[in-house]
Amino acid sequence: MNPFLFILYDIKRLFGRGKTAFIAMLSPIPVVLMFALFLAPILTDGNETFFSGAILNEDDSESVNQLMNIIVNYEVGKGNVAVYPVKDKETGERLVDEGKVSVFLYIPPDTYNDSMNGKKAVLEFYYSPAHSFDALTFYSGIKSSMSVFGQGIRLVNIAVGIAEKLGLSQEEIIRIWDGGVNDLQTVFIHRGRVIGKNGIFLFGADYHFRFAIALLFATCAYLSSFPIIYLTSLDLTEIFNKRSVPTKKLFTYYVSRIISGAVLIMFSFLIMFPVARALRQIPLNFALSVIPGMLLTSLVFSALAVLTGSLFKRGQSALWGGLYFGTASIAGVAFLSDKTDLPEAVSFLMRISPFRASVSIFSNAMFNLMVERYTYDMLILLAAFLIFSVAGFVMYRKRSAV
Amino acid sequence: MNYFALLKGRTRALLTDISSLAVIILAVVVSIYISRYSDNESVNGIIIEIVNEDKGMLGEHLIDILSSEEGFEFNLTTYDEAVKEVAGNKAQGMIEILPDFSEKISKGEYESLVQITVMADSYNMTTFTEMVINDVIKVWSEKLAEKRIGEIEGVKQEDLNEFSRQTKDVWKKESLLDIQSVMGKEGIVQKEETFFGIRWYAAFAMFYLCISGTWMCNYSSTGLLRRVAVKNGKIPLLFTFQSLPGVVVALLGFIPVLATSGHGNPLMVFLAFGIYICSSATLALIICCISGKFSNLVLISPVSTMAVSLFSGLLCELPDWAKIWDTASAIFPGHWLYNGIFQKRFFAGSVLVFAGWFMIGIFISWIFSKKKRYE
Repeated sequence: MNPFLFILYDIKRLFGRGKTAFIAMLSPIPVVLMFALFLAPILTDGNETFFSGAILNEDDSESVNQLMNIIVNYEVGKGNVAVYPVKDKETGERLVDEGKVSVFLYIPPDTYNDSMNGKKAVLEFYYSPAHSFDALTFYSGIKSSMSVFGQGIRLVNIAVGIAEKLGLSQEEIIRIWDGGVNDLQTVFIHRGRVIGKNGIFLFGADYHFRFAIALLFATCAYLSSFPIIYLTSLDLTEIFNKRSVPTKKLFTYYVSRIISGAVLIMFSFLIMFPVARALRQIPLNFALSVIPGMLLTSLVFSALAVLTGSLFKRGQSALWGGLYFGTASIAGVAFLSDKTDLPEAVSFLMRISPFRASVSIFSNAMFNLMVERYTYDMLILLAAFLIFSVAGFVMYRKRSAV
Repeated sequence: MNYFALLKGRTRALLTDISSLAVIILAVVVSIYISRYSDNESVNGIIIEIVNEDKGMLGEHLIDILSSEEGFEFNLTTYDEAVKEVAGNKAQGMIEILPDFSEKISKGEYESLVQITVMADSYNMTTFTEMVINDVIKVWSEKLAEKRIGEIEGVKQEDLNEFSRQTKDVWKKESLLDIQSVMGKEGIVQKEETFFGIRWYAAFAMFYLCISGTWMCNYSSTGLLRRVAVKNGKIPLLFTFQSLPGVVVALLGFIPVLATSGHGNPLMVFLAFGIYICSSATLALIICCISGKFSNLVLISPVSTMAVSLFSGLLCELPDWAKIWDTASAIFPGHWLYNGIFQKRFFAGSVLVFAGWFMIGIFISWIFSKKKRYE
């Protein structure tokens, strides 16, 4: 039998365990769909309006009007928000409560004067619980930037204080005041440009989404390797342990198992990948760069599964081993990957963890692609593949009656 | 049919099965960790590399401002070293202050002053970009205000020095402009306590019941269920006595988790958890019967536990935008446990859900045992 037929035969065996292989492939679907449902509001931010809002500006100062017009016009133009001015606070809140708009921004009287006179002014952001996810994302962006704007006013106050101390005329002081506030407005509306991006708010608001989707990808792929663990352990106990097989033939079996396992894992990727791409409208070049990462991850997880299956005599023990190793890896990446106060040994293990490398490849390649990190992670996966393959074959050979 | 012998055998098997017992031990440890430390969670430890290529002095000033940001550890380094650190997963992000940073700010230009590279390795990176932008804005605003002062007739160097001195304190002071968020009507009152320790333990406990239910899947198809059916034994009683040890172990594990959670009404939560864990046992019965084999069980258990717990709001809060989720999740025991934890009405609902799942579980196991009897 030539090696290709071996692989086909093994794929047939692996998939022939009917329910197990199909469950492995299909199990990501409920999780991905649930995840998609969970994040539904932010998934629609590609072409549709982010949310609608009402606004009431009771401060009649020109500066606030100007600032609000700049922000609102920009966000409306960008398609992020649809804004409706209202006549009173009750109407704005009612529109939110009735679900006609998602948020209502209220600017109280004397906001400008109060802040300019060193008194704290507080705006109100009234939002619908039905839109709390997207509304609060927008809120955190506007709050932090407005806060810096408010602190900037203190700088203008200092400048005015110096002008007063130097005995400048009232007219001159007002000129300095207006000039300073105009400067702040200019800075505010161009804040995104300092990092070369358009827009005023919401830069990087979806990093947690990128991380979560990458973690989900790798977790589901790892779960798909369980049938490989089980079948390998059974094969070694029930077939190879009892029958003498030449090393060359055993190697062919071994390679076939790794390849057929990788095919099984790739199938689960193929189910998840289009969903992820559709969800986030990932650019094609980024999407394509994930494919080598998927292939290598499939091979690594398959080799790891064969190694785990070879380590244990009982199929169930091998599955327990796989489950614990997987849980530890997933928990490590989810909770520890950004911690610095870990013991050096744990930090090192985190850096060389193939599971972490896999998560990093997906989050990196699908969204921003830092080539150096991508290359490093691919090398980690490649090294892991070689180590698992060699160690796996040693165990495979040891367990069989060669 | 000696059901007590089954109970004894099952208890012995469960306590000597270290593999599955380890699941509940880990669940207790992790849940206590979450209870004690989740509320104190911060973004401590995120390493950011800073590359200062600025030819002027403002780049250094930006570094000073960045250094006062909490939750990030900044390392000043060269470009190559920074790339190496980020690529090697030793740092999560990189800020490159471009060579013309000072020059551009002095000229009033604002296009691409810094370059940011962020690896989405952490949930906490969400605020990072906004933070860097705000800090650049601080430098820029200071420079603009200084320029305004410089234009004042008769201004002296000591006035500019005084301005520099005062600006150092400005960024530490409260902002003069703030926005307060108010949730509209129908809003859920923001919870001060999340009780994630209890909630996550509940999810783990369900996983434990599923994964330790090998007796159901191994025997449901070939042995125990069939033998009981042949001997005209009662499947509900079999299930009760077989799953009781697992339920008791999960309840015992819950005690330290509850004690460390700081919940104000522990007895009520214990009751809610007791009903929840019984319902979870019936869900486990269904999952195990459907799985049939242990290899399927290890695939189905984590996925179904994750899906059911997510849907019930145990793993994280259900999104407020989808009321239908909240309503639909009432069919799962986790929904009622969640209500119990947050001191809402749960008793009648949880008992009904338990009864419903119990009936379904018994029906499904009966079907499976019947099917196998005729095979």
